Amino acid sequence: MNDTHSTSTTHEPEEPHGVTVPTPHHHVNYFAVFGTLVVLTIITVGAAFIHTENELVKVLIALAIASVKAACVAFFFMHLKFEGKLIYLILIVPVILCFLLIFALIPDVMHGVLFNNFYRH
Amino acid sequence: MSESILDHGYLAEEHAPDPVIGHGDPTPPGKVAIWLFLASEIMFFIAILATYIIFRSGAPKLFAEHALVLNKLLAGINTLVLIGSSLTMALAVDAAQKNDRRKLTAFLGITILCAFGFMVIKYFEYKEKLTHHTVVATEVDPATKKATPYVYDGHLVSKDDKKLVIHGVRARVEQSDADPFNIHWMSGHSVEQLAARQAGSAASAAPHESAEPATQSAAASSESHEPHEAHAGGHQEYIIDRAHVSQDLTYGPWKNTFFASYFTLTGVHGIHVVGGIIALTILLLQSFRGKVFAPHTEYVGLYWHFVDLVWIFLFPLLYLI
Repeated sequence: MNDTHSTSTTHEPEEPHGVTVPTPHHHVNYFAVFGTLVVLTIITVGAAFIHTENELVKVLIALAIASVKAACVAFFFMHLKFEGKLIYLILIVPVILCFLLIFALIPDVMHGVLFNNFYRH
Repeated sequence: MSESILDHGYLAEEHAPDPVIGHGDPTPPGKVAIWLFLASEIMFFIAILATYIIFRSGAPKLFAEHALVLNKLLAGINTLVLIGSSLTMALAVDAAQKNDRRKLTAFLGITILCAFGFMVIKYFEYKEKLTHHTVVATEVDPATKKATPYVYDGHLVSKDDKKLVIHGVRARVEQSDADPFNIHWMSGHSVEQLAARQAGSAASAAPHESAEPATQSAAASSESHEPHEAHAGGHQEYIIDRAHVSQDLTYGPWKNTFFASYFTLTGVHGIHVVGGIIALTILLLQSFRGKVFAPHTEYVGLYWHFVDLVWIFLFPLLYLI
């Protein structure tokens, strides 16, 4: 990245569209993110051994922790925190579609929960 | 001709803003492309997850019983391996952006090793499932001297042309019109419960009859016929004559909707890991040749973190809950 460093410019790959912006460099403590992820993984495993009658509670706890972990990976490892509007714009579309799909499944899932007695398996 | 355009108030081309980066957003096109790809990947995985949700809500008991077979420890280790590889990938991107070739090579190498480690653990997990058999075989009931169908569930110890040796549990096949028997629904857990119930009911029935079905669990737990006792010591080796086998099913995707979901989800994720290994290896080889491609490393990194992100959801959904 350094202009005075002659070898770096020769090794720099040619961008076909003539990008002139220097590669941004972000200071993230990756080890702290890693530590957080490991701790959350242990919590996930621990939470799975809690005995609750209501399975939905367990599912929601597991999904909540997984979402926090996913946010850690996306915002820090994937540098989403430092991205411009365009990346968010690209990302919001599938996320909205995901939620739409899951909400569309609720009637079917509730049918399974309400009429569970009819299913032996 | 260009002068007439200028006359109409247009800018000459050399003064026009750059068509790619001149619109206020400095995001490189490569990064836009990889994020678009990841956006399509999100929809790919959510579609399979939606199928899993529907299957699971339709057969909660089947899913709960068969999920017990999955190896939580191996999957937990795999989770940590992938998170660790995400860390080294982030450090590799950092090294590439600082043009530190030595660090880049090291971190790419560790990332690839982690990816291979993940696949090796996955291989053992798959092997464990594909050697787990559910077998229906007709044997002569020692007490009634009648041919009776038995269901076995357990790991295959050995097999040859004549016989199968299975380490696991067995029970008499029970079925009625209201409650038909289907080998696809039988898990180790349900066979064990069935055996315990049969041993229990035999013990509480006429005393001369107690010798009959109790023998299969008696070998392991001769002291008591109580269900929880049979549950504790019910696992043993069974030698099955292959001529008596009517049905034989391994814990593959053909077993039931749970294993179909499990193998599809972990399988497509595994394919993504293999794809990541290929991309990472190309970067590593370039690094060996003395070349540091900072933007490309970043894009491969984004993909690799996404693969990690998918596993973060798959691990609790399949193995834990």
